[in-house]
Amino acid sequence: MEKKRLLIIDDENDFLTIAKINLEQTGKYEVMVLPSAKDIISAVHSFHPDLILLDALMPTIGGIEACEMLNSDPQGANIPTVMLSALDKDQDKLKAYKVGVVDYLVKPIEKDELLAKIEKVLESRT
Amino acid sequence: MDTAPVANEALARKELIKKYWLAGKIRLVSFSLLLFFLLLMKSIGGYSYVNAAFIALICVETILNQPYAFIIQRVNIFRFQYYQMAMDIIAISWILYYMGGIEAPLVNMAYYAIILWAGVVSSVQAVFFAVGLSALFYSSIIVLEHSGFLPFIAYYNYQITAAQMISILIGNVSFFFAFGYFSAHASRMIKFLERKRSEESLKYAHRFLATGYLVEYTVHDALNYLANISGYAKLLREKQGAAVDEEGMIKSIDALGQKSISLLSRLIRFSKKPSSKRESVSINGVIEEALELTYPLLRYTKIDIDKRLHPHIPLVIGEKDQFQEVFVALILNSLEAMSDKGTLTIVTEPADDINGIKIIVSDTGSGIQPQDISRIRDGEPFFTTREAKMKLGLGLVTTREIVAKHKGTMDIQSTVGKGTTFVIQLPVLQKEPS
Repeated sequence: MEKKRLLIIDDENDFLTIAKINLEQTGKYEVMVLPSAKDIISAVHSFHPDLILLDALMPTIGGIEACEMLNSDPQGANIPTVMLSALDKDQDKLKAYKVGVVDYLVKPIEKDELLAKIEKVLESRT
Repeated sequence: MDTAPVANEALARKELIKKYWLAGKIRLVSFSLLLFFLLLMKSIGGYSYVNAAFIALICVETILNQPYAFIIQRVNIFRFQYYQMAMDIIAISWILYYMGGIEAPLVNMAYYAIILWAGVVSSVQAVFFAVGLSALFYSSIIVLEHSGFLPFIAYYNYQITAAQMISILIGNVSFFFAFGYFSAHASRMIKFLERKRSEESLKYAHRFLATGYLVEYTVHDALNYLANISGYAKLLREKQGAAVDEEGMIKSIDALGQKSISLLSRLIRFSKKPSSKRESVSINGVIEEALELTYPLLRYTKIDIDKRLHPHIPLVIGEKDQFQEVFVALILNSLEAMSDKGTLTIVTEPADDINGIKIIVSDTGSGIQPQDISRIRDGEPFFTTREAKMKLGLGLVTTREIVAKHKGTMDIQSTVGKGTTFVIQLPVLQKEPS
Protein backbone atom coordinates (compact mmCIF):
# COMPACT_ATOMS: atom_id res chain seq x y z
CA MET A 1 0.00 0.00 0.00
CA GLU A 2 1.29 3.41 -0.95
CA LYS A 3 2.14 5.60 2.00
CA LYS A 4 0.13 8.78 2.44
CA ARG A 5 2.09 12.00 2.61
CA LEU A 6 1.58 14.28 5.54
CA LEU A 7 2.94 17.78 5.86
CA ILE A 8 3.07 19.11 9.44
CA ILE A 9 3.79 22.77 10.08
CA ASP A 10 4.33 23.90 13.64
CA ASP A 11 6.76 26.26 15.36
CA GLU A 12 7.25 23.75 18.18
CA ASN A 13 10.14 21.53 17.20
CA ASP A 14 9.41 19.02 19.95
CA PHE A 15 5.88 18.53 18.72
CA LEU A 16 7.19 18.05 15.18
CA THR A 17 9.75 15.46 16.32
CA ILE A 18 7.23 13.45 18.35
CA ALA A 19 4.48 13.63 15.73
CA LYS A 20 6.85 12.63 12.92
CA ILE A 21 8.13 9.58 14.83
CA ASN A 22 4.64 8.52 15.94
CA LEU A 23 3.15 8.83 12.48
CA GLU A 24 6.02 7.19 10.66
CA GLN A 25 6.03 4.33 13.15
CA THR A 26 2.56 3.36 11.95
CA GLY A 27 4.10 2.52 8.58
CA LYS A 28 1.25 4.26 6.81
CA TYR A 29 2.65 7.72 6.42
CA GLU A 30 5.53 9.64 4.98
CA VAL A 31 5.94 12.81 7.01
CA MET A 32 7.52 16.14 6.17
CA VAL A 33 7.79 18.74 8.89
CA LEU A 34 8.30 22.51 8.69
CA PRO A 35 8.89 24.90 11.63
CA SER A 36 7.31 27.81 9.77
CA ALA A 37 4.63 28.35 7.13
CA LYS A 38 6.72 30.63 4.95
CA ASP A 39 7.74 27.72 2.69
CA ILE A 40 4.32 26.05 2.64
CA ILE A 41 3.67 26.56 -1.06
CA SER A 42 7.06 25.26 -2.18
CA ALA A 43 6.62 22.27 0.19
CA VAL A 44 3.22 21.54 -1.35
CA HIS A 45 4.73 21.63 -4.84
CA SER A 46 7.70 19.47 -3.98
CA PHE A 47 6.19 17.01 -1.46
CA HIS A 48 2.61 16.72 -2.80
CA PRO A 49 1.02 16.05 0.59
CA ASP A 50 -2.31 14.24 0.94
CA LEU A 51 -3.02 16.10 4.17
CA ILE A 52 -1.62 19.15 5.93
CA LEU A 53 -1.55 19.54 9.70
CA LEU A 54 -1.16 23.23 10.43
CA ASP A 55 -0.59 25.00 13.72
CA ALA A 56 -2.92 27.98 14.12
CA LEU A 57 -0.64 30.05 16.30
CA MET A 58 2.73 30.63 14.78
CA PRO A 59 4.90 33.74 14.69
CA THR A 60 5.05 35.72 11.42
CA ILE A 61 2.65 33.57 9.40
CA GLY A 62 -0.22 32.14 11.42
CA GLY A 63 -2.33 29.13 10.49
CA ILE A 64 -5.17 31.21 9.05
CA GLU A 65 -2.84 33.12 6.74
CA ALA A 66 -1.15 29.88 5.73
CA CYS A 67 -4.57 28.49 4.79
CA GLU A 68 -5.26 31.58 2.70
CA MET A 69 -1.91 31.06 0.96
CA LEU A 70 -2.93 27.47 0.24
CA ASN A 71 -6.34 28.55 -1.04
CA SER A 72 -4.73 30.93 -3.51
CA ASP A 73 -2.55 28.16 -4.90
CA PRO A 74 -4.26 25.79 -7.41
CA GLN A 75 -2.51 22.73 -6.01
CA GLY A 76 -2.70 23.75 -2.35
CA ALA A 77 -6.41 24.60 -2.49
CA ASN A 78 -7.33 20.92 -2.98
CA ILE A 79 -5.35 19.55 -0.04
CA PRO A 80 -7.35 18.89 3.12
CA THR A 81 -5.99 20.83 6.07
CA VAL A 82 -6.42 20.08 9.77
CA MET A 83 -5.80 22.99 12.09
CA LEU A 84 -3.97 22.43 15.35
CA SER A 85 -4.30 25.03 18.04
CA ALA A 86 -3.54 25.67 21.67
CA LEU A 87 -6.64 27.83 21.88
CA ASP A 88 -10.04 26.27 22.28
CA LYS A 89 -12.24 29.24 21.46
CA ASP A 90 -15.28 29.14 19.24
CA GLN A 91 -14.24 32.29 17.37
CA ASP A 92 -10.84 30.78 16.54
CA LYS A 93 -12.51 27.60 15.31
CA LEU A 94 -14.96 29.61 13.26
CA LYS A 95 -12.13 31.56 11.62
CA ALA A 96 -10.40 28.29 10.78
CA TYR A 97 -13.49 26.68 9.27
CA LYS A 98 -14.13 29.84 7.26
CA VAL A 99 -10.78 29.48 5.52
CA GLY A 100 -11.61 25.88 4.67
CA VAL A 101 -10.00 23.60 7.25
CA VAL A 102 -11.65 20.20 7.50
CA ASP A 103 -11.05 19.73 11.21
CA TYR A 104 -9.77 21.61 14.24
CA LEU A 105 -7.76 19.87 16.97
CA VAL A 106 -6.95 21.44 20.31
CA LYS A 107 -3.47 20.89 21.69
CA PRO A 108 -2.21 19.00 23.58
CA ILE A 109 -3.26 16.14 21.32
CA GLU A 110 -3.03 12.49 22.26
CA LYS A 111 -1.24 10.28 19.75
CA ASP A 112 -4.30 8.02 19.24
CA GLU A 113 -6.59 10.97 18.68
CA LEU A 114 -4.23 12.44 16.10
CA LEU A 115 -3.96 9.11 14.25
CA ALA A 116 -7.73 8.62 14.28
CA LYS A 117 -8.40 12.11 12.94
CA ILE A 118 -5.84 11.74 10.17
CA GLU A 119 -7.30 8.40 9.12
CA LYS A 120 -10.82 9.76 9.16
CA VAL A 121 -9.95 12.77 7.01
CA LEU A 122 -7.98 10.68 4.52
CA GLU A 123 -10.77 8.08 4.30
CA SER A 124 -13.34 10.75 3.59
CA ARG A 125 -11.19 11.94 0.71
CA THR A 126 -10.92 8.59 -1.00
CA MET B 1 -14.84 55.99 26.33
CA ASP B 2 -16.58 58.34 28.70
CA THR B 3 -17.76 55.73 31.12
CA ALA B 4 -15.46 56.54 34.01
CA PRO B 5 -17.43 59.30 35.81
CA VAL B 6 -20.64 57.34 35.28
CA ALA B 7 -19.04 54.21 36.69
CA ASN B 8 -17.66 56.13 39.68
CA GLU B 9 -21.01 57.77 40.41
CA ALA B 10 -22.82 54.47 40.10
CA LEU B 11 -20.41 52.89 42.55
CA ALA B 12 -20.74 55.79 45.01
CA ARG B 13 -24.52 55.58 44.71
CA LYS B 14 -24.46 51.85 45.34
CA GLU B 15 -22.29 52.35 48.42
CA LEU B 16 -24.55 55.11 49.74
CA ILE B 17 -27.70 53.07 49.15
CA LYS B 18 -26.12 50.20 51.10
CA LYS B 19 -25.47 52.50 54.05
CA TYR B 20 -28.94 54.04 53.86
CA TRP B 21 -30.54 50.63 53.58
CA LEU B 22 -28.93 49.68 56.89
CA ALA B 23 -29.85 53.07 58.34
CA GLY B 24 -33.45 52.51 57.24
CA LYS B 25 -33.63 49.29 59.24
CA ILE B 26 -32.18 50.97 62.32
CA ARG B 27 -34.60 53.88 61.94
CA LEU B 28 -37.60 51.60 61.54
CA VAL B 29 -36.74 49.61 64.66
CA SER B 30 -35.95 52.78 66.66
CA PHE B 31 -39.13 54.61 65.70
CA SER B 32 -41.28 51.51 66.22
CA LEU B 33 -39.85 51.05 69.70
CA LEU B 34 -40.31 54.73 70.49
CA LEU B 35 -43.92 54.65 69.30
CA PHE B 36 -44.63 51.52 71.33
CA PHE B 37 -43.03 53.10 74.39
CA LEU B 38 -44.98 56.36 74.05
CA LEU B 39 -48.29 54.54 73.54
CA LEU B 40 -47.54 52.45 76.61
CA MET B 41 -46.73 55.53 78.66
CA LYS B 42 -49.84 57.28 77.42
CA SER B 43 -52.01 54.27 78.32
CA ILE B 44 -50.69 54.20 81.89
CA GLY B 45 -51.05 57.98 82.20
CA GLY B 46 -47.38 59.02 82.22
CA TYR B 47 -45.67 61.90 80.37
CA SER B 48 -48.16 64.72 80.16
CA TYR B 49 -46.62 66.13 76.96
CA VAL B 50 -47.38 62.92 75.05
CA ASN B 51 -50.40 64.21 73.18
CA ALA B 52 -52.11 63.07 69.99
CA ALA B 53 -50.01 65.36 67.75
CA PHE B 54 -46.80 64.05 69.25
CA ILE B 55 -47.82 60.41 68.81
CA ALA B 56 -49.01 61.22 65.28
CA LEU B 57 -45.56 62.60 64.48
CA ILE B 58 -43.78 59.48 65.67
CA CYS B 59 -46.40 57.37 63.91
CA VAL B 60 -45.77 59.23 60.62
CA GLU B 61 -42.00 58.82 61.02
CA THR B 62 -42.49 55.09 61.65
CA ILE B 63 -44.77 54.68 58.63
CA LEU B 64 -42.44 56.75 56.44
CA ASN B 65 -39.62 54.40 57.31
CA GLN B 66 -41.56 51.30 56.23
CA PRO B 67 -40.94 51.64 52.47
CA TYR B 68 -37.44 53.05 53.07
CA ALA B 69 -35.56 50.32 51.23
CA PHE B 70 -38.00 50.65 48.31
CA ILE B 71 -37.71 54.45 48.19
CA ILE B 72 -33.92 54.74 48.31
CA GLN B 73 -33.61 52.52 45.24
CA ARG B 74 -35.81 54.87 43.25
CA VAL B 75 -34.70 58.34 44.24
CA ASN B 76 -31.61 60.42 43.67
CA ILE B 77 -29.83 59.25 46.80
CA PHE B 78 -27.46 62.23 46.78
CA ARG B 79 -30.41 64.65 47.08
CA PHE B 80 -32.45 62.30 49.20
CA GLN B 81 -29.92 62.42 52.03
CA TYR B 82 -30.44 66.20 52.29
CA TYR B 83 -34.25 65.86 52.25
CA GLN B 84 -34.02 63.23 54.91
CA MET B 85 -31.76 65.35 57.11
CA ALA B 86 -34.13 68.30 56.74
CA MET B 87 -37.16 66.14 57.62
CA ASP B 88 -35.37 64.64 60.61
CA ILE B 89 -34.30 68.04 61.91
CA ILE B 90 -37.86 69.36 61.55
CA ALA B 91 -39.20 66.28 63.38
CA ILE B 92 -36.62 66.62 66.17
CA SER B 93 -37.44 70.29 66.55
CA TRP B 94 -41.13 69.43 66.84
CA ILE B 95 -40.40 66.77 69.47
CA LEU B 96 -38.13 69.26 71.23
CA TYR B 97 -40.94 71.79 71.33
CA TYR B 98 -43.48 69.30 72.72
CA MET B 99 -41.03 68.03 75.30
CA GLY B 100 -40.42 71.42 76.83
CA GLY B 101 -38.16 73.32 74.44
CA ILE B 102 -34.96 74.39 76.16
CA GLU B 103 -35.81 72.23 79.17
CA ALA B 104 -36.41 69.10 77.13
CA PRO B 105 -34.24 66.33 78.52
CA LEU B 106 -31.60 64.98 76.09
CA VAL B 107 -33.66 65.69 72.97
CA ASN B 108 -31.06 68.01 71.46
CA MET B 109 -28.71 65.00 71.43
CA ALA B 110 -30.73 63.87 68.41
CA TYR B 111 -29.30 66.86 66.48
CA TYR B 112 -25.81 65.56 67.24
CA ALA B 113 -26.82 62.13 65.97
CA ILE B 114 -27.83 63.68 62.63
CA ILE B 115 -24.63 65.73 62.42
CA LEU B 116 -22.57 62.64 63.18
CA TRP B 117 -24.50 60.60 60.62
CA ALA B 118 -23.87 63.28 57.99
CA GLY B 119 -20.14 63.08 58.69
CA VAL B 120 -19.83 59.31 58.75
CA VAL B 121 -22.08 58.50 55.81
CA SER B 122 -22.36 61.60 53.67
CA SER B 123 -19.95 64.46 53.17
CA VAL B 124 -18.47 67.63 54.66
CA GLN B 125 -21.15 69.69 52.89
CA ALA B 126 -23.83 67.48 54.44
CA VAL B 127 -22.31 68.05 57.87
CA PHE B 128 -22.51 71.82 57.53
CA PHE B 129 -26.00 71.55 56.09
CA ALA B 130 -27.03 69.53 59.17
CA VAL B 131 -25.28 71.91 61.57
CA GLY B 132 -26.76 75.03 59.96
CA LEU B 133 -30.31 73.67 59.81
CA SER B 134 -30.11 72.26 63.35
CA ALA B 135 -28.91 75.59 64.70
CA LEU B 136 -31.64 77.45 62.81
CA PHE B 137 -34.53 75.21 63.94
CA TYR B 138 -33.25 74.79 67.48
CA SER B 139 -32.83 78.54 67.92
CA SER B 140 -36.20 79.27 66.28
CA ILE B 141 -38.11 76.85 68.56
CA ILE B 142 -36.43 78.15 71.68
CA VAL B 143 -36.79 81.83 70.82
CA LEU B 144 -40.37 81.56 69.50
CA GLU B 145 -41.47 79.55 72.50
CA HIS B 146 -39.74 81.85 74.94
CA SER B 147 -41.10 84.98 73.31
CA GLY B 148 -44.63 83.57 73.31
CA PHE B 149 -45.11 83.14 69.55
CA LEU B 150 -45.50 79.41 70.18
CA PRO B 151 -47.72 78.17 73.06
CA PHE B 152 -45.56 77.57 76.10
CA ILE B 153 -45.09 73.83 76.86
CA ALA B 154 -42.52 73.45 79.63
CA TYR B 155 -41.30 70.15 80.95
CA TYR B 156 -40.94 71.45 84.49
CA ASN B 157 -43.58 74.14 83.96
CA TYR B 158 -40.89 76.67 84.79
CA GLN B 159 -39.90 79.57 82.52
CA ILE B 160 -36.26 80.64 82.49
CA THR B 161 -35.07 84.23 82.00
CA ALA B 162 -34.12 85.61 78.62
CA ALA B 163 -30.47 85.87 79.67
CA GLN B 164 -30.42 82.20 80.71
CA MET B 165 -32.19 81.22 77.51
CA ILE B 166 -29.72 83.13 75.33
CA SER B 167 -26.66 81.72 77.09
CA ILE B 168 -27.96 78.14 76.87
CA LEU B 169 -28.89 78.76 73.25
CA ILE B 170 -25.46 80.15 72.37
CA GLY B 171 -23.80 77.29 74.23
CA ASN B 172 -25.79 74.62 72.42
CA VAL B 173 -25.43 76.21 68.99
CA SER B 174 -21.69 76.58 69.56
CA PHE B 175 -21.57 72.90 70.41
CA PHE B 176 -23.44 72.12 67.19
CA PHE B 177 -20.75 73.93 65.21
CA ALA B 178 -17.87 72.46 67.22
CA PHE B 179 -19.32 68.98 66.83
CA GLY B 180 -19.91 69.67 63.14
CA TYR B 181 -16.27 70.68 62.75
CA PHE B 182 -15.07 67.36 64.20
CA SER B 183 -17.70 65.46 62.27
CA ALA B 184 -16.48 67.10 59.03
CA HIS B 185 -12.94 66.03 59.90
CA ALA B 186 -14.20 62.52 60.54
CA SER B 187 -15.95 62.65 57.18
CA ARG B 188 -12.74 63.66 55.40
CA MET B 189 -10.82 60.95 57.21
CA ILE B 190 -13.41 58.29 56.33
CA LYS B 191 -13.44 59.37 52.68
CA PHE B 192 -9.64 59.28 52.64
CA LEU B 193 -9.57 55.79 54.13
CA GLU B 194 -12.27 54.58 51.74
CA ARG B 195 -10.31 55.99 48.80
CA LYS B 196 -7.10 54.36 50.00
CA ARG B 197 -8.90 51.04 50.41
CA SER B 198 -10.42 51.41 46.96
CA GLU B 199 -7.02 52.28 45.44
CA GLU B 200 -5.43 49.30 47.18
CA SER B 201 -8.06 46.94 45.82
CA LEU B 202 -7.82 48.51 42.36
CA LYS B 203 -4.05 48.16 42.39
CA TYR B 204 -4.45 44.44 42.87
CA ALA B 205 -7.45 44.38 40.54
CA HIS B 206 -5.22 45.45 37.69
CA ARG B 207 -2.52 42.96 38.63
CA PHE B 208 -5.04 40.14 38.80
CA LEU B 209 -6.64 41.25 35.53
CA ALA B 210 -3.26 41.17 33.80
CA THR B 211 -2.44 37.84 35.44
CA GLY B 212 -5.75 36.39 34.30
CA TYR B 213 -4.94 37.34 30.75
CA LEU B 214 -1.40 35.97 30.92
CA VAL B 215 -2.59 32.73 32.52
CA GLU B 216 -4.51 31.60 29.47
CA TYR B 217 -1.53 31.76 27.13
CA THR B 218 1.10 30.74 29.67
CA VAL B 219 -0.82 27.67 30.76
CA HIS B 220 -1.39 26.65 27.14
CA ASP B 221 2.35 26.85 26.54
CA ALA B 222 3.09 24.93 29.72
CA LEU B 223 0.52 22.30 28.77
CA ASN B 224 2.14 21.86 25.38
CA TYR B 225 5.55 21.49 26.98
CA LEU B 226 4.12 18.86 29.32
CA ALA B 227 2.39 17.11 26.44
CA ASN B 228 5.71 16.98 24.60
CA ILE B 229 7.45 15.62 27.69
CA SER B 230 4.76 12.96 27.85
CA GLY B 231 5.19 12.28 24.10
CA TYR B 232 8.95 11.80 24.47
CA ALA B 233 8.45 9.59 27.52
CA LYS B 234 6.06 7.34 25.60
CA LEU B 235 8.49 7.08 22.69
CA LEU B 236 11.31 6.18 25.05
CA ARG B 237 9.17 3.58 26.79
CA GLU B 238 8.13 1.99 23.52
CA LYS B 239 11.64 2.34 22.04
CA GLN B 240 10.42 1.45 18.60
CA GLY B 241 12.35 2.19 15.49
CA ALA B 242 15.90 3.24 14.86
CA ALA B 243 14.81 6.87 14.50
CA VAL B 244 14.55 7.24 18.26
CA ASP B 245 17.43 9.32 19.51
CA GLU B 246 17.28 8.48 23.22
CA GLU B 247 19.99 10.92 24.31
CA GLY B 248 18.41 13.76 22.34
CA MET B 249 14.95 13.01 23.75
CA ILE B 250 16.19 12.99 27.35
CA LYS B 251 17.83 16.34 26.73
CA SER B 252 14.59 17.63 25.21
CA ILE B 253 12.58 16.36 28.20
CA ASP B 254 14.97 18.16 30.53
CA ALA B 255 14.78 21.37 28.49
CA LEU B 256 10.97 21.23 28.30
CA GLY B 257 10.76 20.63 32.04
CA GLN B 258 12.98 23.63 32.71
CA LYS B 259 10.94 25.77 30.32
CA SER B 260 7.70 24.75 32.06
CA ILE B 261 9.16 25.51 35.48
CA SER B 262 10.46 28.94 34.53
CA LEU B 263 7.26 29.81 32.64
CA LEU B 264 4.98 28.92 35.53
CA SER B 265 7.33 30.31 38.20
CA ARG B 266 7.38 33.70 36.47
CA LEU B 267 3.60 33.73 36.33
CA ILE B 268 3.22 32.69 39.96
CA ARG B 269 5.69 35.36 41.05
CA PHE B 270 3.79 38.01 39.11
CA SER B 271 0.39 36.91 40.41
CA LYS B 272 1.44 37.18 44.05
CA LYS B 273 0.86 40.28 46.13
CA PRO B 274 3.84 42.48 45.27
CA SER B 275 6.65 42.71 47.77
CA SER B 276 7.16 46.20 49.16
CA LYS B 277 10.85 45.58 49.74
CA ARG B 278 12.98 48.45 48.46
CA GLU B 279 16.13 47.34 46.74
CA SER B 280 18.57 48.20 43.96
CA VAL B 281 16.78 47.40 40.74
CA SER B 282 18.16 46.92 37.26
CA ILE B 283 15.48 48.39 35.00
CA ASN B 284 16.95 46.51 32.03
CA GLY B 285 16.52 43.26 33.98
CA VAL B 286 12.95 44.15 34.90
CA ILE B 287 12.13 44.91 31.25
CA GLU B 288 13.64 41.58 30.14
CA GLU B 289 11.52 39.76 32.75
CA ALA B 290 8.38 41.62 31.68
CA LEU B 291 9.05 40.62 28.06
CA GLU B 292 9.57 37.00 29.10
CA LEU B 293 6.35 37.07 31.10
CA THR B 294 4.37 38.45 28.18
CA TYR B 295 6.16 36.31 25.60
CA PRO B 296 3.39 33.66 25.48
CA LEU B 297 1.11 36.41 24.16
CA LEU B 298 3.61 38.28 22.06
CA ARG B 299 4.81 35.24 20.19
CA TYR B 300 1.41 34.71 18.62
CA THR B 301 1.30 38.21 17.20
CA LYS B 302 3.02 39.99 14.34
CA ILE B 303 4.39 42.59 16.68
CA ASP B 304 8.08 43.29 16.20
CA ILE B 305 9.97 44.01 19.37
CA ASP B 306 12.60 46.71 18.92
CA LYS B 307 14.51 46.48 22.18
CA ARG B 308 17.38 48.90 22.73
CA LEU B 309 18.51 48.63 26.32
CA HIS B 310 21.52 50.74 27.24
CA PRO B 311 24.06 48.34 28.79
CA HIS B 312 25.35 50.79 31.37
CA ILE B 313 22.35 52.51 32.84
CA PRO B 314 22.55 52.89 36.60
CA LEU B 315 20.43 50.99 39.09
CA VAL B 316 17.48 52.63 40.75
CA ILE B 317 16.18 52.08 44.26
CA GLY B 318 12.62 50.89 44.46
CA GLU B 319 10.12 48.07 44.60
CA LYS B 320 11.08 45.59 41.92
CA ASP B 321 7.66 43.93 41.73
CA GLN B 322 6.04 47.28 41.11
CA PHE B 323 8.49 48.16 38.36
CA GLN B 324 7.71 44.83 36.74
CA GLU B 325 4.02 45.64 36.90
CA VAL B 326 4.72 48.94 35.13
CA PHE B 327 6.38 47.26 32.15
CA VAL B 328 3.90 44.39 31.97
CA ALA B 329 1.09 46.96 31.92
CA LEU B 330 2.79 49.02 29.20
CA ILE B 331 3.53 45.96 27.07
CA LEU B 332 -0.02 44.61 27.40
CA ASN B 333 -1.43 48.04 26.67
CA SER B 334 0.69 48.31 23.53
CA LEU B 335 -0.30 44.81 22.51
CA GLU B 336 -3.94 45.74 22.91
CA ALA B 337 -3.52 49.00 21.02
CA MET B 338 -1.77 47.36 18.07
CA SER B 339 -4.30 44.57 17.49
CA ASP B 340 -1.58 41.95 16.97
CA LYS B 341 0.38 43.92 14.36
CA GLY B 342 2.99 46.68 14.63
CA THR B 343 6.21 47.56 16.40
CA LEU B 344 6.80 47.78 20.11
CA THR B 345 9.91 49.80 20.89
CA ILE B 346 11.52 49.75 24.30
CA VAL B 347 14.51 51.98 24.88
CA THR B 348 16.49 52.65 28.03
CA GLU B 349 19.11 55.36 28.25
CA PRO B 350 20.79 57.52 30.88
CA ALA B 351 19.07 60.85 31.53
CA ASP B 352 21.96 63.00 32.67
CA ASP B 353 19.86 66.16 33.00
CA ILE B 354 17.90 64.63 35.90
CA ASN B 355 20.68 62.32 37.10
CA GLY B 356 18.45 59.43 36.30
CA ILE B 357 17.34 57.07 33.60
CA LYS B 358 14.89 57.42 30.78
CA ILE B 359 12.71 54.57 29.53
CA ILE B 360 10.76 54.98 26.31
CA VAL B 361 8.02 52.52 25.46
CA SER B 362 6.27 53.22 22.19
CA ASP B 363 3.87 51.41 19.94
CA THR B 364 2.38 51.87 16.50
CA GLY B 365 -1.14 51.20 17.69
CA SER B 366 -4.44 53.00 17.73
CA GLY B 367 -3.30 55.79 20.07
CA ILE B 368 -5.13 57.39 22.98
CA GLN B 369 -7.66 60.21 22.76
CA PRO B 370 -6.42 63.51 24.34
CA GLN B 371 -9.24 63.52 26.91
CA ASP B 372 -8.33 59.97 27.86
CA ILE B 373 -4.72 60.99 28.46
CA SER B 374 -6.02 63.62 30.89
CA ARG B 375 -7.93 60.89 32.67
CA ILE B 376 -4.82 58.79 33.06
CA ARG B 377 -3.03 61.86 34.47
CA ASP B 378 -5.94 62.48 36.84
CA GLY B 379 -5.77 58.85 37.96
CA GLU B 380 -9.37 57.95 37.29
CA PRO B 381 -9.45 54.38 38.54
CA PHE B 382 -12.11 52.91 36.26
CA PHE B 383 -10.63 54.36 33.15
CA THR B 384 -10.43 52.22 30.04
CA THR B 385 -9.25 53.50 26.70
CA ARG B 386 -11.41 51.47 24.41
CA GLU B 387 -13.82 48.61 24.12
CA ALA B 388 -10.94 46.25 24.25
CA LYS B 389 -10.77 42.57 24.94
CA MET B 390 -8.25 42.97 27.73
CA LYS B 391 -9.74 46.04 29.46
CA LEU B 392 -6.30 46.96 30.72
CA GLY B 393 -6.59 50.76 30.68
CA LEU B 394 -6.56 50.65 34.44
CA GLY B 395 -2.94 49.53 34.20
CA LEU B 396 -1.88 52.92 32.88
CA VAL B 397 -3.31 54.65 35.93
CA THR B 398 -1.50 52.19 38.19
CA THR B 399 1.68 52.64 36.15
CA ARG B 400 1.59 56.39 36.58
CA GLU B 401 1.06 56.02 40.32
CA ILE B 402 3.95 53.58 40.70
CA VAL B 403 6.30 55.86 38.75
CA ALA B 404 5.22 58.87 40.86
CA LYS B 405 5.76 56.84 44.04
CA HIS B 406 9.35 56.33 42.93
CA LYS B 407 9.72 60.09 42.42
CA GLY B 408 9.69 59.68 38.67
CA THR B 409 7.58 61.11 35.88
CA MET B 410 5.60 59.53 33.08
CA ASP B 411 4.85 61.53 29.97
CA ILE B 412 2.36 60.28 27.40
CA GLN B 413 2.53 61.41 23.78
CA SER B 414 -0.09 59.92 21.54
CA THR B 415 -1.50 60.45 18.09
CA VAL B 416 -4.78 58.72 17.38
CA GLY B 417 -4.28 56.15 14.66
CA LYS B 418 -0.49 56.38 14.79
CA GLY B 419 0.60 55.23 18.20
CA THR B 420 1.57 56.12 21.71
CA THR B 421 4.88 56.83 23.40
CA PHE B 422 5.35 56.61 27.13
CA VAL B 423 8.44 58.37 28.45
CA ILE B 424 9.33 57.42 31.99
CA GLN B 425 12.08 59.21 33.86
CA LEU B 426 13.32 57.81 37.14
CA PRO B 427 15.89 59.39 39.40
CA VAL B 428 18.97 57.34 40.14
CA LEU B 429 19.43 56.87 43.81
CA GLN B 430 22.42 54.59 43.56
CA LYS B 431 25.14 54.29 41.00
CA GLU B 432 25.70 50.99 39.30
CA PRO B 433 28.37 49.00 41.14
CA SER B 434 31.54 48.85 39.11
